[in-house]
Amino acid sequence: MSFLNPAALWFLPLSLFPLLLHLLSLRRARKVLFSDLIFLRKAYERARPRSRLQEWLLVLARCLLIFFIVAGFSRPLLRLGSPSYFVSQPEEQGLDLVLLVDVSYSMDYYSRGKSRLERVAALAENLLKDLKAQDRASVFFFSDRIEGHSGELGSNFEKISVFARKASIVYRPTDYRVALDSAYELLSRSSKPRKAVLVLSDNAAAGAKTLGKNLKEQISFYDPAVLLAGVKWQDEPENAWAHQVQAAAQPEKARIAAELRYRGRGKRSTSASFWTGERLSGKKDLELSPGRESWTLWEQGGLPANEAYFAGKAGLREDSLSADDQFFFSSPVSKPERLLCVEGLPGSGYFLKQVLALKKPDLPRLYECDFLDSSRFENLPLQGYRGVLWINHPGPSDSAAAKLKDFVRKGGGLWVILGGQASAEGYRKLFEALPASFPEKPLTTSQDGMEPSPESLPDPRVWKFSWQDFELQKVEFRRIFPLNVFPQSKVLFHHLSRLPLQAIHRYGAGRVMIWASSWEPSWSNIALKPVFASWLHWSLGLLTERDFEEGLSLKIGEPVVRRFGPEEEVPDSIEVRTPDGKKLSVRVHGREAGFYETFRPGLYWAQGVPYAVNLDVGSMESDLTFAQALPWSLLREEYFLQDWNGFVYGKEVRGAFMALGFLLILAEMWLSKAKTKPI
Amino acid sequence: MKYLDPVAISKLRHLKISPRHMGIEGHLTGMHPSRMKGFSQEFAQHREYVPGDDPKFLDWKVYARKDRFFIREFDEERNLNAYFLVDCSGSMGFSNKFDYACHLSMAMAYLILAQGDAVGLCLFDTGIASFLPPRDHFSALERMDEAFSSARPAKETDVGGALQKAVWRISKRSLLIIFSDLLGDVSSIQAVLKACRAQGHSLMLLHILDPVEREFPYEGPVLFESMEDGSQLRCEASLLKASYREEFDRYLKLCGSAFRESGISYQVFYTDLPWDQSLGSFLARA
Repeated sequence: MSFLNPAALWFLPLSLFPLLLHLLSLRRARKVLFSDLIFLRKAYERARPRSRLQEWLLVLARCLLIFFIVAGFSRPLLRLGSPSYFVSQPEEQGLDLVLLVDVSYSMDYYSRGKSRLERVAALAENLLKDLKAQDRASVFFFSDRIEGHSGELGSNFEKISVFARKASIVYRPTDYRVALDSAYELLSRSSKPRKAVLVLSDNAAAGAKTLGKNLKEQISFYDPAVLLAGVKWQDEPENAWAHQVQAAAQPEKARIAAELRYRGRGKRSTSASFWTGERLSGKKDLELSPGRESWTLWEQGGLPANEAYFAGKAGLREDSLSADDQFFFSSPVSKPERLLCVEGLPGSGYFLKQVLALKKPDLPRLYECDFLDSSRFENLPLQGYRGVLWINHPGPSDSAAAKLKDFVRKGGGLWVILGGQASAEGYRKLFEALPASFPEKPLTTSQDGMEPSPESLPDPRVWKFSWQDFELQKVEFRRIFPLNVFPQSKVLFHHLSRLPLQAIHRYGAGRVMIWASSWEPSWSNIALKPVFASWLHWSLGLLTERDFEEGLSLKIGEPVVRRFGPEEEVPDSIEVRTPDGKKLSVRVHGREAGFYETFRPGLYWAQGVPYAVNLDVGSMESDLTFAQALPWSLLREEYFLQDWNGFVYGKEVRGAFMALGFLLILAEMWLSKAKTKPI
Repeated sequence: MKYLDPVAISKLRHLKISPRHMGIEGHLTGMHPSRMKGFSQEFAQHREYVPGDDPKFLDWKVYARKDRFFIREFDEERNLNAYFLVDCSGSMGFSNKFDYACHLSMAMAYLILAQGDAVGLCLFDTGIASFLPPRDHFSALERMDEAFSSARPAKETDVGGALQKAVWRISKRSLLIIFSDLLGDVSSIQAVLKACRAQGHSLMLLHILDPVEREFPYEGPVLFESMEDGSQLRCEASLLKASYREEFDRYLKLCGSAFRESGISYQVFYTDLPWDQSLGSFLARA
C-alpha cells in the first residue's frame, strides 16, 4: 500500500493517544470514601472480566478510530493487479503508454447504440485527456497487421487524440501478437520505470489464437515490468454470419449453397437470402442453432442467355455485426459437360438417354451425351468429351483400349457398365485401367437391395437428396459380376450380399468407374427405380469431377488479377469497378492487370469479369466468443478511468478508511453508552 | 439542642407513637396495655380459681352456668420503656446518615416522652459505645443530644452482636427502636431480632440509607475507600454501576422480606427526604 499524502502519516502515532490516556487514568483514579465496599466488591468480582474486555475494546476502538482517520487523510492507495514497485514509483517520473486499438471488422459489432470501435475510441480519448503532463503515449491501430501508428511516444495528447479518432474498420481479422510485438518494441526504447500497454479490443478468442500462455517466448521485446491491460465488456456478443457460399451456374440453372453459422445463446430466428447482382432472387426463413453449421440451398432457373458470369451475394439478415452477414460469389456460367456413350448393343444406353433428356426442375442440365456404336469408336476423336460411358460391351479392341486409357490419363472419365456381352477376356486389355477385375461369368443371385459405402453420401452442398430418400433395398439384382476390387480403388455401392456393385479409382489424371451389373431389366431393375436419375447424376459427377466451381473468389487483400488469354486482345489498361461504385483504371503489364486495393468485401468488376472479394472467414473473426484466458488484466468499460487509475496508480481507499473511522465512532459511542447506561 | 430545635418540635405536633399488640412491662401504671394481668377496666380472660385468689374477682355468672369457680382477669395498663439503639459505626458517617438517624431518634424520643413514657439510648458499633437508661423526664432528651453530639461514627459494624449485648442490659420488655444502615450479615441480624421478639420486646427497625448508596453515581476511574475498615478498591466506576445496583437492590429486597417476615416494623429511610416527612409516613403505617 502506498499513500498520496504520506506527510499525514506523521500523525499516525496519535492513534496511541487513547491507550496512553487509559494507562495514565489507571494511575490517576480519584479517591472516594464510601460507606462500605461489600456490594462494590461483589459487583467488581462479578463484572471484572466483562468490564475489562469492554474497557480495552473501548481503548482499541479509540486507537483505531484515530488510526483510520489519520490514514484516511494520508490518501492510501490499494494495488489492483499492478505490482508494488509500479505503484510506488513517483508520479513525477510519468508513464509511457501504448494504446493498441483493434480495428478489425469484429470491432464493428453494435451494442448499446455504438460499435465496439466507437466505444474503445471514446475510452482512448478519455484516457488521453486524463494523462499527466509528464506521461507519454502512442497509438497503434491493428488487425492482423499494424494498420496505423501515431508515431513515437509523445506528450502531445491532443494530436494523438486526433489520430485515435481516425480509427476506422478494416475488413481483416485480429492478431494480438502482431500488435503486442509492436507495442513492446516501442516501449523497449523507453527508459521510464512505468510502462503500460492497453489493448482496446473485443477480446475475441479468434485474435488470441497465436498467443500462447508464455508471452516471453512469443513477443520479441517482452518485458514483464510493462503493465498489460484490456477492456472488460459487460455484454456477451452473439453473432450469426455467412461462413461460405458456393455457386454453380449453367445457362438454364444456377445453384447457390450457403453455409451459415451462429455463436450465441439459444436459437436465433433469421432469414437468409441471395441476390443476383442487385436483384433479390431467393429468401428463406430459418432458425440457427448455436455452434452448428446450417446449409441453405437455392436454385435459380432462367439465367440470361448472354450472361457469362453468375455473381451476387448471399447471406443473412443484418445483425449486430453486419460486416460478415453477406458473402459474395462469382462463378462463370458453364455449359453442360459432353459425354460419349458407347453401346455394345444398340439401345444399351436407352435409360441414360431418357434421364439426360429429362427436364426436371430439381436436376440441372449438366450433361449432353452423344451415343455411338462401338464400331465407330476408333475413328472418333475424343476431344471435347469429358467422359465415356462404355455400356454392355464385350470388351474394347486393343486400339480402343489404348485410346480409352490415353483419354483417361489426360483427365477424362471412363465408366464401364458391364452386362450380358461382357467377359473378363474381352476386357483384359483394359484391366490395368479398371478399378476391379471380374470373372468370365456373372453370378446369379436372388437377393435384392444395394447399399452405399459410408463415404458415398451425397454432398449436401450439391445435392438435395440423400440415399434414405429411396428404397435401395428394393432394387433387384439377378446377375452380378463378382468384382475383385483393387486395394487403391474405392467401393461406392455394395450388394446386400456384400458383393461390390460399383467401384471407382483414379487413373492418370482421370477416373475410371465400373458397375458390376447391367441396366437391362433382365439383370437389374435399377434403371426403372426412382433412385436411378439421382444415382446417375451423382455417379457422373464423381466420374467427371464436376463439383461446384470455385468461381472467382478472393479474400480481402488478395489482388484482382485479370489475365488475358492468347487469343484475347490486350488493352493498355482495364477499368475496375469497386463495390462502392468507383471506377479505376489499371494498367496492363504483359498480359495481366492487377488491382490490389481490395480493402472491403464485395464484387469487383475488372473488364466485365466479376471477382467476389470476401472476408477471411477461415480466421473465425466472426466468432466473437471471449477468449478464455488473455494475458492482460481486464478493466471495466463503465468505470474505465477509475479502474485504470487504480490499476496503474493503485486505488485510493480514503473513503473506505473514513467509513471505517465512522463505524468506529459509532462503536465508541455504543461502548461508551454501555458504560453509562442507567438501569 | 443540636438535634431537636423548636422548629423540629413544631413539626411533631400531629405525630403519635402507638405501637400495637405490644406488651409493656413497667413499674408505673400508664396508657399502654401490658401483658401483665392486673386490675383495670380492660377484661382479659377467665382463669380457674385457685385458693388464695381474691373472691371479689369470682365470676358468679360463670359459676351459675358451670358450677365451677372462675376468676375474671384484667389487662394491666403500664408505662412504656423505649430504647433507641443507634448504629454509630463508620458506614453511618457516610454523607449525613448518622445525623439523620439522630434527628429521627430525638423526634421519636420527644413523642414518647410527651406520652409520659420513658426513653433510653444505646449507641453501638461492634459493641455498645454508649448506654443511657430510660427516663420519663424531658431531661432525657438533653442527655441523648449530648450523647449524639459527642459520638463520632468511626469503627466497623457488628449489628447482630451489638444488639445482643444491648438486649442483655434491658431487663424489661421494651420498645426497641433500631437505627442502622444494616451493612452486615442480614441473617445474623434477623436471628438476633427474632430472639428479641421472643423475649417480648417490640421492635422498630429504621434502615438509614443515603441515595448515593443506591444510585452509585460515580464515573471514571475511582479509588473507593471503606469508611468502616479503611479497605480500598480501584475500579472503573461506570463499568460497575449496573452490577452494583443489582447487588444493592437484591440486598434491599432481602432485608425487606426477612424483617417483615419476622414481624418487625421495618422501613427504609433515605436521607434525601426530610426526616419529619419520612417519620410521619412511618408512624402512620406502624
